[in-house]
Amino acid sequence: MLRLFLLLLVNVVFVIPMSLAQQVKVEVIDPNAIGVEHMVVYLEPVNKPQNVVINSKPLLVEKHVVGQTVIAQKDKAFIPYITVTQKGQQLSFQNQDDITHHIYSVSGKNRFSFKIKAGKEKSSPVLEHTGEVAMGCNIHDWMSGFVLVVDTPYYAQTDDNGIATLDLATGGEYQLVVWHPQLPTKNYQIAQLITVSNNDEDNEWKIKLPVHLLAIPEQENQDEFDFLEGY
Amino acid sequence: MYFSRSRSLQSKILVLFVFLLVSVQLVTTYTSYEANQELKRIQLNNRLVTAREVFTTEFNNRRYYLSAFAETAAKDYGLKDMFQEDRRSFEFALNNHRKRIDSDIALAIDKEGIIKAQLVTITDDKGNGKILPLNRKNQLEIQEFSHKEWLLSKQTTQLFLFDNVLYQLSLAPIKSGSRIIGWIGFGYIIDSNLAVRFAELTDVNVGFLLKSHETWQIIAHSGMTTEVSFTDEFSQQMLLNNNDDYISNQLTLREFDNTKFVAVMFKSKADLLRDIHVNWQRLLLLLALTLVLSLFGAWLIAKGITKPIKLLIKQVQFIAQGNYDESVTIDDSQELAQLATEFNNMKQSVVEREKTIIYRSSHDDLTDLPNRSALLEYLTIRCQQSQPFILLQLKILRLEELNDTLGHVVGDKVIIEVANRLLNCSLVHKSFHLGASNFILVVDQCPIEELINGLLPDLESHYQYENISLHFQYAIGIANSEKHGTKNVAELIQKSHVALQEAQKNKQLFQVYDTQFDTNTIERLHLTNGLHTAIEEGQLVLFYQPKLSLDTMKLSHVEALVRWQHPEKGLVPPDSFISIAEKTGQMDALTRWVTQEAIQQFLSWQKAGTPIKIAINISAENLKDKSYSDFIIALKERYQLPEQAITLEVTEDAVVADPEKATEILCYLKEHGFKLSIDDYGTGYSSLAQLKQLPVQELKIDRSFVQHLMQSQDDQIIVRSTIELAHNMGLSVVAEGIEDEETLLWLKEHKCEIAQGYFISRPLPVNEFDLWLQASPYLNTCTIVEVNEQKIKGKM
Repeated sequence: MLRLFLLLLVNVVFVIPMSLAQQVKVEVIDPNAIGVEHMVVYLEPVNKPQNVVINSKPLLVEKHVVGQTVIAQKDKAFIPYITVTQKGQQLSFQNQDDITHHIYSVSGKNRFSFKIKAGKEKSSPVLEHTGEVAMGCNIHDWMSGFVLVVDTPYYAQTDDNGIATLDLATGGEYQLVVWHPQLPTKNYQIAQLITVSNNDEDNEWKIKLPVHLLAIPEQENQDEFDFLEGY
Repeated sequence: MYFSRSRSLQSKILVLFVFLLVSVQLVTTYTSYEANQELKRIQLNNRLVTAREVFTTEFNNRRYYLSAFAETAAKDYGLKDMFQEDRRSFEFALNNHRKRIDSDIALAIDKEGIIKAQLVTITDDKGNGKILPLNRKNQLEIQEFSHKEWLLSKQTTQLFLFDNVLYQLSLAPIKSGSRIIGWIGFGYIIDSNLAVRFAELTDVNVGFLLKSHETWQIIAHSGMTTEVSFTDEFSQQMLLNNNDDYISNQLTLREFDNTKFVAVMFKSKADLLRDIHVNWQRLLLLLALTLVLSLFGAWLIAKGITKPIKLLIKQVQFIAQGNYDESVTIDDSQELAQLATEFNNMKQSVVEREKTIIYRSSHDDLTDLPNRSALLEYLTIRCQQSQPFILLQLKILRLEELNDTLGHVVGDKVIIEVANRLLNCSLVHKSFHLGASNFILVVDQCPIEELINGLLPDLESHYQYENISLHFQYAIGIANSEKHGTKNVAELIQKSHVALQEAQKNKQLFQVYDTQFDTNTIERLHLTNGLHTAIEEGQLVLFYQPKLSLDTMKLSHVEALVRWQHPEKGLVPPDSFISIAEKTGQMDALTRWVTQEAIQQFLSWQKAGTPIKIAINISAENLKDKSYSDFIIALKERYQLPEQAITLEVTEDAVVADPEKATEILCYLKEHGFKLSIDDYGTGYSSLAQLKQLPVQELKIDRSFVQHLMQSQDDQIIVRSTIELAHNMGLSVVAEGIEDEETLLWLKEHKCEIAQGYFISRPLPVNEFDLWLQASPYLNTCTIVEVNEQKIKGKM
């Protein structure tokens, strides 16, 4: 969690100075008006400009692996739990455990399956389709991770306060989508058309979830019996 | 005897025992029966409860098995991986899993609730199993799963009705990570095979029913063992458990869409209880056996208890028959032994008392000698021994005088003295005391004279009583067993008695019995019985003895004397029956008859012109009260009899008994014109003073003084002085018993008024008397004429 926090912190640090054009701030709150973290927020231009080069550059760049989103397998859990990436990208899986994992996704169109030996790193196939990728591990049934593949460069995840900040190239009409695998709505998302003005101050959106999120599955062995520590 | 009114102790005890035993047996049987019934109920319930448990467990196991398999299969990566592949490929993958558990149905549903694959096993006509995939008209047709609600339900196993076939279906989600991408399900058919399998496991019949709104649908059942078919009606009975032959129980396995899936478990009670029934029969048999044995035991006990009592009864009965030598011995129990002892004591007392009684009954109180009954007994035995013997009946004479003079104490002492003498007499074989002064001596056969001579010295010695020397006199009657018969001992005794009487009569010391003595006595016996009839039947007849007036030598009176003309015995002399009449109280009747007859005769003679006065003998009986007097007075008045026509002769003895009354009656008679005469004067003890008191007009000198008058100077003195005495007292004198002319003349000379006797005439019946009178010189002249006239008339 600490790593996750640091990563997010790093993102925020990098994003802000790079804001060139209009910045959109989206605050996601639950029915109790409390900010919800880890919500995926992305904006799709309603009139998709033909000249916009998709995947010209990654929006989020890890320091050490340029162009690839990293999902770690640590303590028999996917970290982060939710990842959002742009179509055409590859995911990088890092097995930080001392055992082999068998990562798979059988849902949607981005399906893959491979094993990663302990301490190794492996890239997923190129994610050619948008949509949810529900991942699991064939060896550890409880492991669960989600990747949302979007066809837009404008995506982000809410912070601890439920706030996500997106920098857009230009203002205009956008479909704002808020997504979470446990959001019990159709396609686990809510969407809203917004008009991004060129004035930064005006582009603050507060999205209130109509329902609470379902319980996020705990990536822990639910069995009563577990291997002894250090086995 | 034992079972008449009061039942025997044995049967009472037996009845009590039987009652108790039967009661106990009944209670036992009832308890057993109840326990058995309870056992049956428990057994039945247990069977069903057990069956239910087994069934539930089995059903749950199957569910768990299905559900576990579905979950496992859902986690199979191979299947997951194939989930997004083409339908046909997936169906093969699904079937592959299905085969692993041989499920009857396999389902796959995508996350939208659309049936992705459905495999159903069917068995074709040839019995081969086939897989039937979901039938689609085309590839594009989609079929939604009919029970989407099951998909998100926590209940993983459901009952799935498809094509009218019910499946137990378990669904499990197929997940990609934590995201559910679809469901797969496996199910087993619920059919008769399952029912049969459960039935085999639980040993009860199983039926599956679907119930919705009171309508029933039979899904399957395990089949019936009996001829009863599993109909709707039957299933309903099973559900309601109201079939008497079956016990049933229902188990709701699942409830969905207002429909209940119910398993009915039932079993024929007869089947369930068959084992118990065998036991029941055995129990009954045992019970009957026990009852019989215990009844036998009761009989034995009852018999055991009453045995000593019966023994006691038997022994007591034996003793009651007079077998006193036996003792009662019972040692069964203390009480009965005591009872036996008491019986023995009582028996002893009875024996002693009886001895005393027997002794008393066979011995005379006074002399302690054996009495008459002992004599009879002794003689009977003696006669049977055919030893001849002599029976002497001995009477102490003048004992009454002794009693009168010295008192009965002395009389008794005399009797005792005689008894003692007899006991000490060596000649006497055995002595008996008949009572009062009579003894019987039994002596062995020997000459009579010797016997008497031997006896007398011992018996006749003087007895000194308080300075009075008493000399005993005896009369002895002798009967001989040889000569006088031994057939009837009582007769023999009677014969000795007759002999004794004869001896007394003749003032002899002893008299041996002779058969001629007997006639009188036997006759007396007959006469006693016949006299009454004689009076009634007119067997009596009056004879008349003439009385001659000595101064005129003419007949003036007759004495009427009664005679008994017995149809068998002929003429019975008056001596024989007068005394009988006196003793048997028939004297009054006899006298009245005589009176009537005599009066009739007087009237007859009076009518004939010869009014002869008649004398009638009356007895003491007629002087007791006035009844006879009134009777004769009434007759006199009725027939207008002249005064003094009837003379009433009374003996001295008749007056002696009650002189005052007799005098009164006689006066009464005299007043009414009867002539009174003292009969048999001189034989009694009447004093002259008494004679003087009597209102008689005539005195009749007893024949004993007259019969031998000519030969006896003494008699002449007596008769002469009596005549003088009578004349001096104003009485006329009649002399009877005149048997010769000399006596007649002597009496005439001495002024005796009337003479009577055989010299004149013996008593004659009336017709003879009439003839005699006509021929006699004593015919009264005044009567002759008429008689002659009659004679003349008769001759004419």
